[in-house]
Amino acid sequence: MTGEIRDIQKSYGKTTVLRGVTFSAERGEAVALVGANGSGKSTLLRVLAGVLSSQGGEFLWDGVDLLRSRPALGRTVAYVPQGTPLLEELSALDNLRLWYERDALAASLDGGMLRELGVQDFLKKPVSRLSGGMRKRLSIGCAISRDPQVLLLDEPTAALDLAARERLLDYFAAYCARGGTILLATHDLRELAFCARCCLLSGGVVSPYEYDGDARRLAQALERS
Amino acid sequence: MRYLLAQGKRALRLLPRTLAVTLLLTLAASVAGAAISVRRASDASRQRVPVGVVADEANPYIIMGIHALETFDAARDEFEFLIMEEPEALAQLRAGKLRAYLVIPDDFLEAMYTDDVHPIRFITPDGAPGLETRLAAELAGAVARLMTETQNAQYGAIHYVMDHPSDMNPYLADDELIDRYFTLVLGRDKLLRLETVGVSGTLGYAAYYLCGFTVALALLWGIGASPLFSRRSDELGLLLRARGFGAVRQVAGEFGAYYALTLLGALCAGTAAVLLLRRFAANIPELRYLSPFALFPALALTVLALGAMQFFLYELAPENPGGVLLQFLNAAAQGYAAGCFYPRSFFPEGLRTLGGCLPAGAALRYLSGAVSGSGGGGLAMLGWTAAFLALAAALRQRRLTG
Repeated sequence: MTGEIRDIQKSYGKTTVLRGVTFSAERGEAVALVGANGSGKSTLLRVLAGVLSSQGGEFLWDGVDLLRSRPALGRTVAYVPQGTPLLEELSALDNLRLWYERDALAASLDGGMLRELGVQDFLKKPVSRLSGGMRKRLSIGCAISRDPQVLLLDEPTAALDLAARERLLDYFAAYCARGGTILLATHDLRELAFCARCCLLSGGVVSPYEYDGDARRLAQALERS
Repeated sequence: MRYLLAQGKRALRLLPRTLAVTLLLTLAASVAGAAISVRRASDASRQRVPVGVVADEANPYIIMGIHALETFDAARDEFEFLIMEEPEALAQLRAGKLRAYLVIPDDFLEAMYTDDVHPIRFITPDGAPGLETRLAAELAGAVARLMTETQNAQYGAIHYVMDHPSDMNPYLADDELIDRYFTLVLGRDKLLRLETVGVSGTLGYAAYYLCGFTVALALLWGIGASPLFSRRSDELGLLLRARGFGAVRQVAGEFGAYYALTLLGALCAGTAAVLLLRRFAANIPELRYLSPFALFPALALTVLALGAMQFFLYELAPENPGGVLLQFLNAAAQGYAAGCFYPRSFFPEGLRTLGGCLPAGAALRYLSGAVSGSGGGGLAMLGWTAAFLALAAALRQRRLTG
């Protein structure tokens, strides 16, 4: 077992959102987090990314608690939020320069992960003129600048057209095939089908859910939660 | 450093739009300010400015002159004249109870009879610009009016003497009076001499409005800068924080870039304005011998404090149109209360104190001091800057950590 999330707790004031989330993830595996709106999926990803502090719990990766070691967390985990974490007025290249060292950027564009994402097609374009799919690819490109082992994705293909969605899912498949682990919060059935496992977040705790392609059964499960 | 450079690039791209919006808004504010001034000038119900008069109370002509100023002329709507001794007037001026006082020499009238002029001294505290100009105009107007009325009386007297013959030659008497009037009329500009209490920090109208315009411009710059700071989400901030680039460093990077750009614009515009004014508006004595470079530190500090305030306001309301609306309301309210559009010295005591305490008021006072050479106020600018940036960082931290 490579990654283990144990008893994560998070409250906003008197409102408890996560009441002891526990699950695990293997190397090369994609795990989907599903849950109703406001169930705490984004909060969980933010806690695991180190953006939010938790009131308790561990995120163990190869035996190291990443929530207690920020340098290790930064090296291991990349987080891509739901929105666009980009500077709109600048070009795609300028945005990448914010996250990459000069040599690393050149190498990645030359034959690395950025080429795999296809960002070299729109490097000179300002972000404000990019399509939703291009923006998402660029956001992921920015996030993976440290070659992370774990990718945390918050609804990565939401509002993307079919072609852009397929392209991203191909990239995720390639990422997992190289041994990377993906945790993604989603409402999308295509993303769910892509993931090896599914976890249902409800009432602040996670329970395993066997997704068999039956969307109606999933909807009922979400309603019950 | 990379974040600072990225933000600097953004700021440069948005510069033309920011500049255009600021110029348009400043133009609009100037027109509005002028309209307010005109309206106030015609408003008879406004508060009168208390001015002390140190004069010989036993001299009926002096008392009559003061009475004339109070009743016959437009000054009755502008000033309230209070007769007192000079030590008392000085004490009240320093306590802020008087806005200025006049000292009419005991031999003022006698000197006039001998074709001499012993000027009236007009004493203002530091930072009461505009008063002396207004009072001088009122005084000159009153003297002119008195002379016109006297001229009418003189014609009446000639007709009376002609209708009631006597030994007196009315034409000779008339010639003598005309001689005296010429002396009075031609020497009218020497009637008043301006003095200030302590170190002079008082600016003339033109220099004061130049400082006010500069502060107003700096306030309105924040509205034009809205594309730089307005944002719909904090995703980038969250991602940066996840990488260990926390709220303080984010605020430092963003404000640093904004400040560098604003400073560059302010210094270029400031130099151009001083050079143009020295070339074409020689009636601003404060600028005549002032090097444009001498104002650079003052401009830099002014822009620093006001920029920090604008940055904090955008942190408070980062989304549009709320952010822009807040900047506009802040610029309009602070600009007015600080005295950018109308001299604060004409405001009621409470508003004057409040205006002076606000960042824009402190900036105007600091800039005025730099132009007049009296200095001071730099620490207040730094204090406001530190306070606003600390508040902005605290707000950013709070938002990023939920």
